[in-house]
Amino acid sequence: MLDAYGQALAFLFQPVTLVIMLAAVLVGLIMGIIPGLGGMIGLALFLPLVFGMRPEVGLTLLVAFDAVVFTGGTITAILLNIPGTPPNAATLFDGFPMNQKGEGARAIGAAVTSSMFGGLVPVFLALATIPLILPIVMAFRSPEMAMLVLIGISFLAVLTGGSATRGLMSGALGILLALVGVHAATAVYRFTFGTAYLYDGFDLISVSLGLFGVAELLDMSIEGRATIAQKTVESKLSDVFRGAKDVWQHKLLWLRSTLLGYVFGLIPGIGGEAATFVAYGQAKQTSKNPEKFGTGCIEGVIAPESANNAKEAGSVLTTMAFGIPGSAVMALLMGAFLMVGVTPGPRMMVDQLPLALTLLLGIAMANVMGGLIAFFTANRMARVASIPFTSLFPLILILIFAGTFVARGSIVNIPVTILFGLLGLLMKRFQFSRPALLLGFVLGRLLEDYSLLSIKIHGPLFFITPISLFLLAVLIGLLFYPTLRKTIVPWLQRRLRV
Amino acid sequence: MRIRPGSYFLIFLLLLGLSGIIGSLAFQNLQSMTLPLMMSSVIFVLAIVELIKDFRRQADTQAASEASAESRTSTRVEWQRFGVALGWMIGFAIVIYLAGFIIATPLFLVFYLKRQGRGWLMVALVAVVTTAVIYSIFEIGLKAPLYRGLIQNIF
Repeated sequence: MLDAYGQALAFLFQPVTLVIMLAAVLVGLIMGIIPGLGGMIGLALFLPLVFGMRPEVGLTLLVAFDAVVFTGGTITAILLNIPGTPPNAATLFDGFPMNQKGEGARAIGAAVTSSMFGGLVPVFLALATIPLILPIVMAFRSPEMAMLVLIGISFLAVLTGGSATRGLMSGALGILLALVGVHAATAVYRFTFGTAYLYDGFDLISVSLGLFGVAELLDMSIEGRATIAQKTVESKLSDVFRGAKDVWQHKLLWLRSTLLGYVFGLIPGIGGEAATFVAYGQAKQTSKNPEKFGTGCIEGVIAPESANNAKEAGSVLTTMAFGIPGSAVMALLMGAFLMVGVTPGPRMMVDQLPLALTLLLGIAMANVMGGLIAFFTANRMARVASIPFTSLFPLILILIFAGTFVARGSIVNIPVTILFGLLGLLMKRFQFSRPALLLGFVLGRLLEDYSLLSIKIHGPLFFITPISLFLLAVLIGLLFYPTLRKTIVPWLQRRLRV
Repeated sequence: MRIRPGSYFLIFLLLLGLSGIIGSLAFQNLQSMTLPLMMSSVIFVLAIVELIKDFRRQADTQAASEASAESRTSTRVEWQRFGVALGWMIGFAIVIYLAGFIIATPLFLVFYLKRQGRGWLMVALVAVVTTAVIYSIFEIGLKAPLYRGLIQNIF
């Protein structure tokens, strides 16, 4: 274990790694600041760059980027009343009113400090829990892994977006798309229609850039966005420091919110918004002055921002240890793992422990870097949000097309990406879950491999093992959760009232 | 009864599920057939469920669903914007196919930004810098050659 720590730290403190992380952090902050872009598109744009890199380099770049996106999103939330990323929405309630009262710099100071330490501490929590998690994850074999994959997809399908049915359809569609191409075990060509391009199936980069990148560009064009924001706000550094001091004065609130965020991150499918809103809610409930919430209260900024960054360490740990990505961003990250030849899951925590530690410590370092940069440059960075959409459109499109071409060296990838963009747009407009589709796509082949292997070894009733049965019960519970929520809960409430 | 756009998408998914079922049954090996067949069936069945729900909802709200002139105009504007954005994307893709990335990138930027009313100096600067950045990242940094286009075969 100590050796693994040594290797991880030695790699992270190499000058090249530091430069790569710094670049990823800067881009992550900027992507977070620009509303509508966020982590998903940014990560998708980064994927082609990771192609061919050493796993530790490529994956560190991605986690560093992902770790600070929400810190960037805070700045626009406070200064411009626009959440840079969806989880920053809870910061609007008190962040923007503080700005209106002339305390924007103080709010930024508090938010950035909360985010920075909120992202740092859970990493050490995650590192401390690895020895406890290891024996559990080692008990998982192919039947349990097959069940885990199904649970992962169902979690995201049922818990994200509106309709559970549409979520499950999206997940199933993702799995079906993953099965296109030659089936390695039987050499059967599936859904290739005699096209050589489809023999290898669709690649993750085209699918993710289409579903999220192209679809968002089309969606923003339809909305007719001219500029995202025009306001510029001035702030003093001394006020930013005052905000940092506020976090120290509310350290218990910060700790509670950080722990909440971490726990929410560990549970797949719950999503960042839930973590920040719950953290905001508990801050209000436990505050001595709940009536001040919503009018520019510093506690209303500290709580959601601590939870925001804290959940990322939890999500990364679940993704690595169990191979269950808890969100679309994590699904994409898992796709990147597979792309560079690393299979997340129980074996990773044993065979690739140095890499797992590198990534967790990388999140901590990225949070410190991002926090410090945002602390001193928040005001200037916020101006990025004033870039007209018409200027961003061609630049993002060029990156998307170049990235998708490089992924396979095939020009066909470009029309394929556009087609996935249209699918993503339709899914967004009609409330289908794009994260569930992406997760199904990432995990589809794994699901098939694990289930076929399980049938070969244990027969068709492979799921009759204690852990698998438990996981099956969780899966069934999860699938019936929306129905239970709609029928049983109101019935119970009525009975209790009577 | 007017069918809502969401229902068309569900019908598309229903047909996709159905063709998936038919396609899967053609695979001769049970191992390669099982999962595609299961997933296609899931899509097919859930699409039917959602379509039934959708039609019921439509019947309930039909009286109130007469679109106003204002909303029809807004939909037309949205379609126009969608068409323009998609047109730019497809146009850029065609130019890449013909001329390759290094020529298509500045060309696309010049046409797009001039159409948005930007000044020549700004347009030229953005076109040159962006092309240089793309070339540096992919060709030099990642050693990943960008597509050269059909034009390369002619000359």
